[in-house]
Amino acid sequence: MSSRDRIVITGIGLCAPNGCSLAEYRDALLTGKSGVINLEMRHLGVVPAGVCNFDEFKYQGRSDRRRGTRAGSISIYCASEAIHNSELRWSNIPKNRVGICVGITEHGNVETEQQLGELSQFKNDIAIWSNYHNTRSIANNPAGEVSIRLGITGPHLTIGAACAAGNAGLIHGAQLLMLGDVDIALAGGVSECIQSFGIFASFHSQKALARHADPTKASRPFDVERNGIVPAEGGCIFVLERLSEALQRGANIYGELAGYAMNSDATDLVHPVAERQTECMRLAIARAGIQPGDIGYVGSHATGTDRGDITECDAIHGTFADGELPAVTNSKSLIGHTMGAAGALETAALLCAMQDGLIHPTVNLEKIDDRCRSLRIVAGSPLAIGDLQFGIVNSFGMLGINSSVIIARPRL
Amino acid sequence: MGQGNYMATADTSLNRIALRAEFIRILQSVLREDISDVTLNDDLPIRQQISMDSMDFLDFAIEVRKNLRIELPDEAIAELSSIRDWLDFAWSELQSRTRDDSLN
Repeated sequence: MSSRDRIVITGIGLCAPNGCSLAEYRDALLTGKSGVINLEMRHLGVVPAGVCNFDEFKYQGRSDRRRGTRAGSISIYCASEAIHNSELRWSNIPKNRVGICVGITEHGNVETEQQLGELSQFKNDIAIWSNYHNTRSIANNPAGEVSIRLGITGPHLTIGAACAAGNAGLIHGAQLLMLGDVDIALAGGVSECIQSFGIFASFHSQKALARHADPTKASRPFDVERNGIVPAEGGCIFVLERLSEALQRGANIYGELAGYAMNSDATDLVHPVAERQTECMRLAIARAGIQPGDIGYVGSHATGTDRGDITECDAIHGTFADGELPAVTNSKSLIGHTMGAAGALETAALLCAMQDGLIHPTVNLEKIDDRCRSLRIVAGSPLAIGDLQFGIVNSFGMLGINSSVIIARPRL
Repeated sequence: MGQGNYMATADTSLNRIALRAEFIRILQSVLREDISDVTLNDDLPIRQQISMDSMDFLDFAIEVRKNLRIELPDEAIAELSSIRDWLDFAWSELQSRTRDDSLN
């Protein structure tokens, strides 16, 4: 590929339950700081959840926040932090050449639940229904709020892709650049899910909602005592540019999106299929022009459900079994499942590993499930790996949607 | 503060002061801005004095409905512009409802 076709990451903006800047998040991952706390949830009582603590008004006025959504607010925060981090001369950038691709698992539940709750208190008097309901619950809201706040007049898209949405946002942003539709893409994913009672209640009904007396131990991928998902809010948005233009402006390049793939199981609403996940990983690796043995790091999806973890273990083993197995880690054990942001936050961790040469450990892995023993899971303390060349991040979701992205160390 | 607070005493002038304060509180909640230092002229259109677009104004009307629990027909909203307009309308609604309640 020419440098014009190669897509690089030149800025990172994030908010995670255990840190709302890149430095805080990285430090929390390496030191095992959890962002999961007990949250009082109506009808369900206390549940563990990943909750972000960031200043909503750093980049947004109070009036705009009231009109908008938590997902929009997280998106604005992450996009603004990413632009700042990229050192782009933002005032000089033609805003019609900037695109926004925000992945999201679901949207509109929070507003609808809140409005229906109020309606029931007013004897179903429709006169109290908010005039902002449509603009809050419409599917393009998170990306649209970024567009309005930052004055971006290029395309804005909210990508609905279940829990593969963080990767899907990144992929779509890269595709906009490859097509020449934009010169800069703000791409990643967000989650506001902890505001929605329905998300928790539905995982509860599916017998997939994690419970633990200590909330920091509730998210425990690959451990025999795992009992489900810890819903979490958060976001991560990257600045993407074509390599040629990033080099021209002397940008700090965190890594290159060297390959990607998305596919579908086409079988079940919720049960994943290892064979399709393996195909997805292998396709991404092939598109990057490398071999499975070149991958040194797997940012796993690691939901902490029985079937999800075992299926992914089988898929990773199926992808890499012919050679040396790469190190496997995840961030969900420390922050919960940030849904639409999950893949992007996992990619941020991988990009950090390329900078500091450390793979952060998964936590709460006290007794590994025998069916996961074939993997090299990093646990207990960070693993020093030196100059990591390639890593892969998996992100899978309901309705059988799979995604994998390959990140390469900057190669100039 | 609910609507009963404005009707509890026979001192009409005091009740209207309390009602006005409630309108200002609702305005602040809609705008998420502290407007305590803005001297609002009760006879001038609110939107001439505070930055509000049409969506904010509708939001304000809905919050008035919710907080005062009064009927607020859409055609009435179009006629309500100043603080005094809102006060007069709400006052009339609250008093007529008090009369209805006493008859029941």
